[in-house]
This record gives sequence, structure tokens and C-alpha cells, in this order.
Amino acid sequence: MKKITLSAALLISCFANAQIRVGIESNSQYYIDDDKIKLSQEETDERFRSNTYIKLDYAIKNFEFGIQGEGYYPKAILNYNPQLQDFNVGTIYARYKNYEKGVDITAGHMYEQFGSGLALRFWEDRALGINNALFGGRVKWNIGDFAQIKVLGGKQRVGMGFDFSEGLVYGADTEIDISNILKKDDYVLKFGASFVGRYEDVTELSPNPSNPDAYRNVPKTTDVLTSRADYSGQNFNFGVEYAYKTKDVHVETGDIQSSVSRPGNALLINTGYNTGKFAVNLNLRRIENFTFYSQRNMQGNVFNYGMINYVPSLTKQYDHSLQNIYVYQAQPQMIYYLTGVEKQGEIGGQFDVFYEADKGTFLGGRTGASFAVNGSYWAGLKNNISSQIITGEFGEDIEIVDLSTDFLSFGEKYYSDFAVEYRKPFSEKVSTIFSYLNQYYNSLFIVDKPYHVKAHTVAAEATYFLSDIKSVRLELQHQWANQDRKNWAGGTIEYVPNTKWSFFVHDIYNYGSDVENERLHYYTLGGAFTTGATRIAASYGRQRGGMMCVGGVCRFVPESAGFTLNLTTNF
Amino acid sequence: MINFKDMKNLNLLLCFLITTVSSVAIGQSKLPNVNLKDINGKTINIAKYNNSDKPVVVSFWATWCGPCIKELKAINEVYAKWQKELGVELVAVSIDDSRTKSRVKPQVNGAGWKYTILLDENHELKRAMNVVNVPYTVVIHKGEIKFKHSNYTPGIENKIYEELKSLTKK
Repeated sequence: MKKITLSAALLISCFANAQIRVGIESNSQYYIDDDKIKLSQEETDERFRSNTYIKLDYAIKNFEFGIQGEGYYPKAILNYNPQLQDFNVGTIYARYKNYEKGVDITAGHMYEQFGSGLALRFWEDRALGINNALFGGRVKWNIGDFAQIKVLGGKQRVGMGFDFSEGLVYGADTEIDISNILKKDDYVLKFGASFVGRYEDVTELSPNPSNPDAYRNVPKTTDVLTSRADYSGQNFNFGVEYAYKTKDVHVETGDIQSSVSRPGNALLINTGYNTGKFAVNLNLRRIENFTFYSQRNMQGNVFNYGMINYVPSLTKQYDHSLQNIYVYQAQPQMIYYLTGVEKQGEIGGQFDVFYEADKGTFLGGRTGASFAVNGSYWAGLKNNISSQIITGEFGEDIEIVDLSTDFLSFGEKYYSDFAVEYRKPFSEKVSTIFSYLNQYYNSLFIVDKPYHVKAHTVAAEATYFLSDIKSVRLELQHQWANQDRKNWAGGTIEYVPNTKWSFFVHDIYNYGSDVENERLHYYTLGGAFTTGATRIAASYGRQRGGMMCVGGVCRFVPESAGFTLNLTTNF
Repeated sequence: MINFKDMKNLNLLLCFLITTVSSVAIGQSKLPNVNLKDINGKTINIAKYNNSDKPVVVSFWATWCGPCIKELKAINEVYAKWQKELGVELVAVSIDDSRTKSRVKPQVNGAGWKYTILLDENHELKRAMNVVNVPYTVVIHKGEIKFKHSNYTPGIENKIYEELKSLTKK
């Protein structure tokens, strides 16, 4: 009997810390044809689409094991990467974490980021259909509280969990906390450096049988090296990161141009100052020929798979739907010979100011107010173009264009914005938000449409409390745009009877379009039910086509109409 | 016939099954073992809040999430009262990535928030807790997750306050 008690006690101690965590997300669409919006012919085979993710993690003592199953059945929602199909393993991993000993070891799929992600970021964003996890091994090692070293290597996921790209990716990152070494509490000072390499051998893969040596000079390895410093004091902070990419052949729309070879670089600066309830921040960035994919010919693919690094657009992400028609996307790539436009990278910056006016002050009034002002300016690097004519193998003239650029050189303007937001509670029962946004959007260089759009957008919203937890919200928006689809008007009414339910009606109307059949209402009505961690949302209506952007990365979504059902839960 | 020896083995097996099933906590009962950085870059393990005697509110948010800002602004109005009455600490976990991370500090300072701010830049905690949408709020008391809420509805701070009061009363 003693034995039994003993083994039971052992077992309890063994399992007492075990935990199983489950997360489920399911997004379904049923596409219909209404009188104006029809599903494109090649998509009509499946009108019902759904993306489902089931994630299971098991943690026991210092070990963790996890798997994410993904289902795109009968097909993935419109315009997801076509390699996402059926049911399969998305990610699977085993991990040993012992922070007391400073060790963290992972085998299987992993997510990771070095610095700000300029050299490497493996991440997941289901709304964008991005999961570029690395499948391989990783060791993280903390030395005291002042240094961390990470080493990893593997193959990158580009479709379902075991669809990998050709390249092998490996890297190391280290970060040293100087303020911890000096035992300083009033500021933080850190230095970091990283290395990321890609091995991809294409030397035998000439596309031209008559010239088997076409790719013979393409390097087998390409590396990105970065260094960074971050200072954060009481009122002032400053950070800088520089990245260099070794010389690699130029790739454009999936074609390797083995005759053009060039290095790339990126410089990112961030600085901020705050005092009391006033805070300001400034970001500056210059990027030149700086894309990095785990397989060269995935360069610039519209589904965003195969990216090793992360170069987001540094612009504010706005709340209202009309403010998100002209969304900037970062332009790190070099393009010049196929598209008729020349690009080598991007230069510019953004600023933010936040101010909270207290109750009883001049700007705050009786109830207080919040102000946010922000702006950005982004341009292409100025192109220095030289060209020479050489004679080709059939005696024809071939123009060889050579591009170069200087360090501080502003070329074609791509985007700018300036926005002011004012939040004001008028009483216990009424709170309001007013905003104005001014944008310039060079469609030709960003989305390849022949426009230079100037847009002004105003939005106002008010929430009226009917009780502690019951409210009605009204939102009105208008956009004046001089080109493209011109003027829009929009509105939303949301009714929240309690903390579990909410209902809304939303419409944006492109009344100003020159094209009569573009003068459409994109209306949606729907509701959501939330209890604990479970949320079910259903809606019916029309989706405006265009760029759907999260975190500065965009996915094109076509115009559509139909029913949407989203379910998320965890336990 | 079952003899005594078999009985003993059966007992052992039963014990094994019961202890296994009963002591594996199915579901998220605690905060996971994840290291995050605070707003100044110092490392903090979120699991340390499992040891707190006072209730801890963990709220996932982002600078680009309108409803999150509304929720944190609404709680800010009553936070001093919560702290004084119930000893509550609010840990606001920002899921801003490197696109918008630089906006976290001015947003927090500008708004005068006194919350503990943690940065979950590549979403390790968000993933570990299976958070899909922000805002997402949990309340931990004495090492156990007692309340979860996904999404913002105006006035949710009143519901959270009720929840916190009933926890601290027990």
C-alpha cells in the first residue's frame, strides 16, 4: 500500500504542472452574386469557403509540445495562397524552456525575430494568410541578465506545414544589455548584432538549354548582417539599426537576372521624447535593394510567402474604412527593366505627437480631451540612370541600363499623409472622436495604376451610453479624392445592448465615381456574440475590393458579396 | 476470479488514471511561461503574475486598434480607484510589431497611463494564450485565470470591476 501511495504521489508531482491549451479559429464565407457584384467565373466552383485553425499545446514542467492543424476546405477564402489547401499540419514543435538556467531549445516549426525584423522575422498572420515559420532547430541562451544569444537554422514554410522553399536559412543574433552590466536602473542601453544567411544553389538551373552556364556565377550564399543600438531613458529614447545584404543577383517578377548583381542596405532610426502628458516620436528609414526571400524566384509574390525579413511600411494604420482606401506599402525592392518604372528603394519618415489635456485646462475643458497628430513622407531613392548600347549575338542593339543612387537622395514622391485626431468626452454619457486625414498616394509606383491621388477624409463618431453597459455608436465619414474612384461617403450604427451582444449596420458609398457602375454601396450588417473567450460573429453584405493590410503588409482582396461567419474560442 | 494481487494492480492502474486525468489541467488555468520585454526593454516573465495575491488584469492591445484604445482610456478613468480599493494591477500587453511599436511609448505617455506595459512584438504570448483578436482581457487571481473577455464593448470596465470586486471579497 505504501508503494501505491508513493507512486501516486510521484505521479501527482509529475503531472501537477501539466497544462493543455486549445485555440480554435474558423472563418467562413458564402459568396453570392447580387445585382452588381458577381463572383468571378473561375471561382464559382466553390461558393462556400472556409479557413480553420486548431491549435493544441501541451506544457509539462519545462517541456512544451504543440501542433496547429489547418483546414482550407472546400477551398481557402478568396485570394489566399493557392498552396493553402485541404487539411494538414500547419506547425508542429517540441520545446524545452528553462529560464532559470537561461536555456530555451526548440525543434520543429518556430517563430522568431531578430532586432526589428530587418534581417529576419518568422511570424503568422492568419488574416493575411502569412505563416513563414522556420522548420528546424533553435537554441536561445541567456547569460545572466546582460546577454542573449540565439542560433537557428532550417527550411521555411511556404504553403502547408511541410511545403518548404528551396533555400536553407540559418542565422544568429546576440544582444547585450550594458545598463544591466553597469547595474543602472535609470536608463536602458543595449547593443545587438545579427547574421542571417541563405543557401540556395541555382548554378545548374539555367532556363536556357543553349546556355547551360547562364546562372553559373550566381552566388550560393547570400547574407544579411545587422547591428543595432537602443537607448531608453526617463524622457528620451533613441534607437538605430543598420543592415547590409551581400551582393546578390537581381530578381524581377520571378526572373533571375544573372548579369545584374548588387548589394543592399537599410538604415532605421527611431527617437522619442515625452514629458508629462505630451509625447512625440520620430521614425526615419532608408532602404535600398533590400528584399530577402528564402527562394529567389519568390521575390515579390503577391501572397507574401517566402519572406525572410520584414520591412513594414512606417505609416499610421487608421481606424475608419475610408481612411484605408489609400494604404501605403513599403517599397524596398529594386525594379527597373520589366515594368517601365525605375525603383531602387525608399527614403522617408514619420512623426507622431500625443497630448492629453487634463480636465479644467484650456484645451481640456471641463471633461478633458486627447489629441493625436501624425504625418509621414515617403519617396523613392533618386535614380541615377546611365545606359549604354551594346550589340547582341544576332547583331541587334541592346540597351544596358545601370542604376545607382546617393545616400540622401529623394526621388519620386510615393506617399504622404497628415492627420489630426481629437477625442472628447462631453459627459458621463457621451464621448466623441473627430479626425481629419490628408493623403497623397502615387498609385503608379505603389499599385501600378495611373493615378496621383490627393484625398481628404473626415470622420466623426459619438458613443451614447444608455446604461452602464448599453450603448449606441454612430460614425460618419467622408472622403474627397481628386482621381481614381473619387468621392465616398460612409456611416456606421452600432448597438450594444450588453457585454455579450453587439449589432451593426455599415455602409460606404462611392457616389463620386466617374464610372456609373462603380457608384456602389458597400453595405454590411451583422452581429456578434461574445462570452468569455468565445466569440461568434456573423455578417451579410459587400466587401470593397482592394488592399487589405495588417501590420504594413497587404493582401489583395477582390470585391465580393455574401455571408461571413467567424468563430474564435480557446480553453 | 480476481485475486488480491490483481486487485492491487488494478488499484495501481486506477490511481494512475485518476491522478493523470485529474491533475492535467485542461484549459488555460494559469499564465504561460513566456518572457516579454517591458516598454524600456527589460525582460519580464509573465508567469510571475501567477504568484500575485492581488488580482491582475492582463489586457492585450495595439496602438492601431481603436477599440483597445477606448478600453484602456475608459479603464484609466477608474484605475486609481481600482488600485486603491482592490489593489489591482493592470498589465497592458501591446501586440504592436515593428511597424507600429515606436508608437507604443508616446501613446502610453501621452495618455498618462500608469499601467505596466509589456511588448509582445512577435506574438509569442498572444499565441501561447490563443488570443486571436484584440482587445482581449483576462483576470488572474491567486494563480488562476478567473475571467476572460474577447473584444471591447463600451462599459466593459464596469463588468470587469464587478468581477474584480467579487474575487477580492472571497
